[in-house]
Amino acid sequence: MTDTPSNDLRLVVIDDDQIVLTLTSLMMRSIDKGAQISCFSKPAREINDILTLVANATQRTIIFLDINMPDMNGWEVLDVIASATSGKLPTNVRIYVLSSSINTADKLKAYSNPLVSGFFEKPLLQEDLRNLLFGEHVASMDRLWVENTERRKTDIR
Amino acid sequence: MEVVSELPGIIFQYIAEPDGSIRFTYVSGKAEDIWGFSAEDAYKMGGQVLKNIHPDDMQRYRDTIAHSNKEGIAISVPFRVIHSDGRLRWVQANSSPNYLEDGRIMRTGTVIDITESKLTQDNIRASEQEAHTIFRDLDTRIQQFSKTRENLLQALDHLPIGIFIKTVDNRFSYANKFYYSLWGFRSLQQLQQANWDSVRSNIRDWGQITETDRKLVSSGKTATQVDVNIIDNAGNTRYFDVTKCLFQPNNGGEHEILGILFETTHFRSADAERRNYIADLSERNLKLERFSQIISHQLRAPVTTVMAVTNWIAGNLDATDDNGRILLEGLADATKKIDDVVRDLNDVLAPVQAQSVELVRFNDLIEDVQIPLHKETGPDGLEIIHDFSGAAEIHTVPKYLYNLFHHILATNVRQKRKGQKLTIGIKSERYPEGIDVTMRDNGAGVDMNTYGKLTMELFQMYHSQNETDHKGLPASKKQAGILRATIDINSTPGSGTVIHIYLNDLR
Repeated sequence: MTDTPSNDLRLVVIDDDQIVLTLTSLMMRSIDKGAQISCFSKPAREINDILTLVANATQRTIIFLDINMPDMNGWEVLDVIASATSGKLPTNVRIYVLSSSINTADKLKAYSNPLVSGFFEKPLLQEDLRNLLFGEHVASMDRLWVENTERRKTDIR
Repeated sequence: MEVVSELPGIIFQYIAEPDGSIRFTYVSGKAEDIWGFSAEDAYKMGGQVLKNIHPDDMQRYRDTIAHSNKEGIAISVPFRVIHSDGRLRWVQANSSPNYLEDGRIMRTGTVIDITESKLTQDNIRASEQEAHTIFRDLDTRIQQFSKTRENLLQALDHLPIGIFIKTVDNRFSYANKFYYSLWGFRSLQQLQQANWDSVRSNIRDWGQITETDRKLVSSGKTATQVDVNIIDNAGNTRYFDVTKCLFQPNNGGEHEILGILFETTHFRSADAERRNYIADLSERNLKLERFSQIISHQLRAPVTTVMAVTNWIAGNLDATDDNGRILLEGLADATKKIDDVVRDLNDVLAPVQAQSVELVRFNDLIEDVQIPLHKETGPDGLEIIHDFSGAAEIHTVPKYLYNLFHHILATNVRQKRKGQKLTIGIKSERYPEGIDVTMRDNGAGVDMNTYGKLTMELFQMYHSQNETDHKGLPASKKQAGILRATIDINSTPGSGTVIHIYLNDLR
């Protein structure tokens, strides 16, 4: 785990791919040099640290969570967090799925989880990160699309 | 004389003169009944009474009498008499001549009514004739029947079903070729002479068969056994549906069993093949699903890593490093192509339910499609004006229709003039075969001399018009085939583009 102190923003990246951890950190650092960055590549071993960060978050905290990881996958991490927080994240914590999956089922599963605020397809672009931090989040549009699709299916039925 | 008058015939005597005239000297009492003239009339009329002889028989009668007179012999001649009351009578005249000294001839004889016996005789003759005709006809019919029977038996021998007639204890009176061949016999005779006990060991359901035969004979009810298992002469296991009913022979002998075997071996084989095929298909499907997971996660993950690193390096490259930039752009382009292939593969391997037909409202579709487009153009760079009053909805595969609209509108966005808001008007109309969605924009347009007026299937549109030309990838072909969409494009540089999308309702 790497950690860089900052007062305003904490970025947490949970991914077994070291390159993703490095690149996301670099992108974050180029946008906000003072942001705190926490990277976890083995969530099964580091789950308690992750839970501690979630529970004790005092600043705006953005978590990027990969799905496909060998020891504990993203869904299992979400389950543990949901269990630890009784399904309710602190208001200053947002979890975004960051996955290479282009499987619609994964996307729907992510959006159906109340802890997940958005879904980013890899590769994460610096522009995506900037929009997330400072502008309208494109992933929310994706969410709208998914929600609309589900709503319409219900309407038609 | 009293007695003579009661005799069933006429006794007569007449004298024939040398000139041929005759004179009756005696006629008994029955003359009137048989001949039509009384004895008294005969005495008066003499030879005139002979006028009652049937004209067709007269000459024969006269010739016979003349012959008798000449030869002095007794004659017996049958002939017909037309009675005075009009009735026709057959009579038999028996007489003989006596030559008198004065040259006259005295003829004495009898006339008997033989009408009844003659009619009987005629009837018998006619019956004999008829019988003869019948027998001759019967013979022809028997020959015909034999031929028909022979043809029928030949036909039965060519049927692909087994037919037999046998007793309960397996004495066969008939079996067609299919049946006796089943056991390796070359003829019905061989089957009849065979020791059936040695054959029955090849029938696994023998006990059931004999039980069915017994029940059939006692109840008379037709019975069917399915999937009777038989090992034929070649050692092959075969299955039959066997239907049996009671058969009463023409000779009135004991009841026999008529059986028909319908082979079901090939159906069972086909069924087994189908089950194997489905199992194999399920297995392959499972593997495909796993492969789909691999594509979606394991294969794409390193691709995205390369893309991410390339992006990062490109963003931090020294502005003067032209060679580095060229190399990075090449790397980015190659990686993008790999990513496109991965996405296509993911679409191809997507679960079938993702392709289910649903009702799609065009309003909703446009609302969804323009989200990523606005991301490209910015909120003020694109305006989509639509009118779907002509056709508000369609049954189709939502994801594929979304892809189609996204591809087309994204192409339009790429033709947006710099510094000008791109306006796209979209309208739907019904036509007999489906729905025509027209898109009209104020973009830069393209030179149709280069692209030509295109009317093509969806997959052609995707890839011949796209900058990233990976023509004919299966995902798009599959989607095109499913949507059954055709596209017509008209575009002029400086005047924008008009695109007609012809869609079929897939309900």
